[in-house]
Amino acid sequence: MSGGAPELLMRVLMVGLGGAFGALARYGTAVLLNERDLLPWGTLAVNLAGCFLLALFLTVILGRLSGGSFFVLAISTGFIGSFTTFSAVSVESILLMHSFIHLALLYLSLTLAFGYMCTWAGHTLGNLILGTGWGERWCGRVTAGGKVHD
Amino acid sequence: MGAAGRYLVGRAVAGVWRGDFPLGTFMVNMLGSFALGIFIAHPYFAVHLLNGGVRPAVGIGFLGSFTTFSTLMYEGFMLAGRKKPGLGAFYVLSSVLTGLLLAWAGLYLF
Repeated sequence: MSGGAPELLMRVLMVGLGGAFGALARYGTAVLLNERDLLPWGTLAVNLAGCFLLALFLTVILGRLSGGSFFVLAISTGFIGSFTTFSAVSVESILLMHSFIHLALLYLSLTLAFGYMCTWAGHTLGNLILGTGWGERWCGRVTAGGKVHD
Repeated sequence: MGAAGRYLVGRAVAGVWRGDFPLGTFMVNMLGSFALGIFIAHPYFAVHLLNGGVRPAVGIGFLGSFTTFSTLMYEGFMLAGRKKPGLGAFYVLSSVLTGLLLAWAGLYLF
């Protein structure tokens, strides 16, 4: 990590900007899905989608680009990182455990097992995209975009 | 902003911790679980922040964004891919169990 205070400030701003959109998208999904049932399906949905997207994005991008660029930070650490949440899983599980311990265990198992599978699926698809050369064309565009900032 | 806070904590931890265990993500997830528990249950917040959009802004917005699940899974997955499945499993399971314990402490002990 090189660069002084202005670059750090820029990085923090990029993460914050991506993060704000990620949190809004999560809030929208949670409001739509969490109230319908005992299990917090909204939190589960954003976490699984986020696992898939992060693994896909990082596999494709890190195959082509350095991890420190502003664009990568805004999308991965910012948007997808904020879109998913760990604190809500912990608190929802404890609150569920209070009355329905088997549902809390089901919720945790679903989150972990499918979270891992979605990460694997995103990573595998990312490698497929890299392997076809289609990803190379797509990432060429991203690299050019990243260079504008750098 | 939660995401910016998570990034800064991650950077600070990465400056002093060189091990394979992703301590930065672990720290933000534990801190966030504890803080969200307190924030939801503590009478102070119930009394002072009932009105307006402050509760969703802090609870869902800030603390939700401060913690992350996708990075946890990705780091665990990558540890397994780098021939460290034991450490990956330990990382994910210790995060979940410690997170539950801290959320419980935040909800019921304060």
